[in-house]
Formats: sequence, C-alpha cells, structure tokens
Amino acid sequence: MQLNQKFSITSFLILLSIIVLLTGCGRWTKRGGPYKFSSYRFQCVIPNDWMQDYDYKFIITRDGLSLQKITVERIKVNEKLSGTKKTFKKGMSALEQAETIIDNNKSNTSIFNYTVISNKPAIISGDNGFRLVTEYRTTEDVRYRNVSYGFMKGDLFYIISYNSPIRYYFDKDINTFEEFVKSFSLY
Amino acid sequence: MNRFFTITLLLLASCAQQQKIDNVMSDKYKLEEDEKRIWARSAEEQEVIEESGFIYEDKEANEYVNKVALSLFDKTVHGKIKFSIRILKNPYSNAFAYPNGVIYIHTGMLARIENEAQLATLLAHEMTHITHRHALSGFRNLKSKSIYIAAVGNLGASASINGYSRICENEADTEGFRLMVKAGYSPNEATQIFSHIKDELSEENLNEPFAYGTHPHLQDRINNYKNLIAGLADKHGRATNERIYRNKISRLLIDNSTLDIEAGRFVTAEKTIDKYISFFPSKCEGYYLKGKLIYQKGSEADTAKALLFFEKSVSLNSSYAEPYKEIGYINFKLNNKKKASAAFKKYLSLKPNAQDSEYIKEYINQCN
Repeated sequence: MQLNQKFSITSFLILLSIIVLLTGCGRWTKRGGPYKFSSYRFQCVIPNDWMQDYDYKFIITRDGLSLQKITVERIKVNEKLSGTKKTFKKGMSALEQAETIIDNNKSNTSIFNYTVISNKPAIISGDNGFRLVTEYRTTEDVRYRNVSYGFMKGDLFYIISYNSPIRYYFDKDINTFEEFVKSFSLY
Repeated sequence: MNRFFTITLLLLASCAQQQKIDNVMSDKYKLEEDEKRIWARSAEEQEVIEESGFIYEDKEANEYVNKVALSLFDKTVHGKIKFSIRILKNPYSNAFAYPNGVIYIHTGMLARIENEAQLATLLAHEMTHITHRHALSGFRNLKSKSIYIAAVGNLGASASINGYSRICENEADTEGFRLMVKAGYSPNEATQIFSHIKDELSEENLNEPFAYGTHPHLQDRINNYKNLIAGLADKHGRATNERIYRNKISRLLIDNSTLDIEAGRFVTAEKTIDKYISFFPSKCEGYYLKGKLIYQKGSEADTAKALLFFEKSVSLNSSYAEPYKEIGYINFKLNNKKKASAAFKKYLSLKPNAQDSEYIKEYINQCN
C-alpha cells in the first residue's frame, strides 16, 4: 500500500512535469502602459491588453505569436547571426545595418519568397537608423509582413520588429506598432 | 525547408539487405504500388521547392545541365523516366535526386565544378540512384525497421550527394562512372567532385557530414573512383568541355558569389570571383564583386583596394550602376564629398528606382 502511494506521488510528479513541458514554459502576463526592460535598458509603452512573455527577451502579442508580435532584440557587435556569417561592425551606417539584416534573412532557407518591400532611413529614439519592410512565406504557406526599425548605439545594435500575417491581421496593429516605436527609448 | 527532405531521408536507409529490384533498363521494369506512393510524395515536396523562390531560373544554365543529362542515357531510359534537372539558389555544395526523375543541384555545387566532365559525373551518379530505384529499395528496407518512425522528418539539409547508403552510393559511383566514360568524358575528372566537397568542408571548418555510419567516407569514394579509373584501358584524350561549361554558367558564377557574400562565406566567394575574373577579364561584374568582398574586410588599406576594383568595373561598363554606389559611399566616408556626390548621382541616374534610393538621396544632401 505504502509502495503504491509512493508510486502514485512519483507518477503524479512525472506527469505534472510532462504536462508543464508539453504546454510550454511561457509565463504570459497581461500588460499595458509604461514599461522598463532592464536587461536591454530600454523603456516603452506597451499597448493595452497586450501580453508579454519571458523576462530575458522582449516579445509581446495580443492574440498569439502567429497572429501578431512585437519584438525588441539587441545584438552585440561581432555577435553570430542566425543566417549569415556576417556580423554587425562598430560604425556601420544605417544602410549597412539594414543590408546585414536583409542578408541574414536571405540566407535563411526556412523562409520562402523573401522580398524587400521598402528600405528607408529612419530616426529611432533620436538615433539614425532604418525602417525595413519585408515579406515572406512560411513552410505552412502563410504570407507574413515584417516591419523593422534598427539602429546602433555604440557596440550594440537594436532592432524593433512587428511581424504579422499579411491577410487581415497586419493592418489591424501596424499603427499600434508605430506608436510603440515612438514610445521606445534607451535609458 | 526540412519538409521536402523527408523523401530523401528514405534514401538514407541501408540498402544492405535490399531485395532484388529490377532497374529501369530491365524489360521487367514496372512501377510498383508502393513506388507510386513515393513518387506522389516526391511530387508534393517538389511543389513546395518550386514555389519557394529558391529556383534558379537562368535559362542557359538550365537548358545546358538538362542537355548534358540527356546525353548520358539512351532514348529507352528517357522514355521510362522523365528526368528533369533543376537548379536551386543555394551557395552550399549539394545535389539530391528524387525517385521520380527530378534532380536538384545547388548553384554552389555548379560554381565549384570546373567542366562538363565533372558535371556529367555528378549527374550520372544522381541519375543512377533513380534508374536503380534506390529510393524503393531504401523504403522497403526502412519499412522493416523501427528507425523509420524516428527517421522521417529528421533529415534536414544534410541530405546530399552522399545521402544514400554505402551500397547504393557505391553502385551509383560505379554505374555513374561507366555512364560518363561511355558518353565520352575524361575519366580523370570523376574524382574532382569529391575534392570540391572536401574544399567546402575545409572552408567551413566542418568534419565530414556523415551522421549515418553506413555512408562511405569521402576518401573511400575517391579511392573507389581511382580504382575504377585504374581498371580502364584508355584513360586519356577524352572530353572535359571546360570552355563550354564556363560559358554556360558564367551568369551563375556571379549570382552564386552574391549568395556567398550575403551568407558571409567570404573565402568561398573570393575563390569563385577570382575564377570568374580569370575566365572573363573584360566583364565588369567580377571586379564589382571583388571590390565588395574586399570592402567587407574593413581596413583602410582594403578600402583603397576595393575602390580600385569598383573603378575598374565602371571603366569596363559605364552603365553598370552598382559600383557607382560603392564609389560614392567610399568617397563619402573619406570625406571626398564632390566625388561621392557625382558617383551617387550617377548611380541614381542609372537605377532611379533603386531600393536604397532614399539613403542615397540623403547622402547627396549631406555632400552639398
């Protein structure tokens, strides 16, 4: 009997661990309003009713990551990128930064029909940078549009992106994203 | 992109215990029911590839590789299997065959190959996998093994010309070699394919990409070819068609170097660009890419050297827009505002709808 109880507790814990693992470890928190992300030392205003996941990287969504997401990434100079072997170099112009991002995405064979729609200079939080609009198709045949603002500050490259399926969802939150970028600043 | 490698995975299964399956040349050849399903799955995967944006469309290169493939078998075989050679925009050396006759070759592989004899070696090898129905024997062997479930969906981009079992690869090497020699190509070129793969592995600091213990190692395969060559009575005086090959793939060399530069594979890119310049010294594109490559290195000396290549490029073709942008940019950084402005303006006049025109206009404003 005791052995059975012990077995049940052990089984329960294993089962619980499996459920936790299978359902993912996401800690989604509903947020809205001014927010400071201390890991990257930036502040912003999170749109109302959007949810945030993880503490170590910045990612927010309202309806789910595959429907819309805003991310902020910080990449160090000379840090390895996912697609290209090129890296960001100190003193790169905005055009060179944008081209590095384009080359990185072009070298990613898991996204199809990658196309640059527009690539223009932009000011982000007072710094010279770029605004890049691209489109691509996933292996599941969903077409996405991505708007990214990027800029360099010293040894760090920042990229703020909005990613959403072109059909229906993209237009819904593009203005929210532009407001988010306006609220973004380093501290 | 992994999705379309699942069929190729089936080919990884060991053919060691393969049943006797008649090859396509046999009078007894008939498409089997399970084979039809493999073909159908292949067609689905090919549809994904064809719509991926990775197909390399250059007509001349495509027609050429298909023409070489056509010459390797007689009409009877082509009547049974409709071979189609497709080129993929991918700078990594690779090629793979689907059982229904469709073969994909990466631009990176074609850029490394030096002549038609080497191309014929590669094609004959891949076509033999198809004519000898290695996918079917692999599939039937897999069905009897529990690794089937674990294996499907787990192939990834490592599927390559080395992606079959040892026995299947040896058969494709031997039969492919016989075909290329019969077609009149120089047998001595056959081993070069593996030298190219070895070069790539060394440039990428990779070990041999054989996750599966049954696959013959590169050196074993080189030795295998050397034995085949040694067994031939007449080894010399046959065709390589180097000049024809280089002319047919000249555009591809430039396009693949661009992919290499985008991927940051500078050592590989430089080799191809140098090859292109030596083949086509009067063409502007090679000097432009060489300049771009040198400029990426970033030192002051490199910048001055890169500028010379860009200037050489425009001296050969004054209506080629790309180098003007680089000349403008380098002069802008060197504070030669007048030269920078003139080059930027020339770039925009040649390419008014350039994607980066907003940046260039801003540079011109800053030059004033």
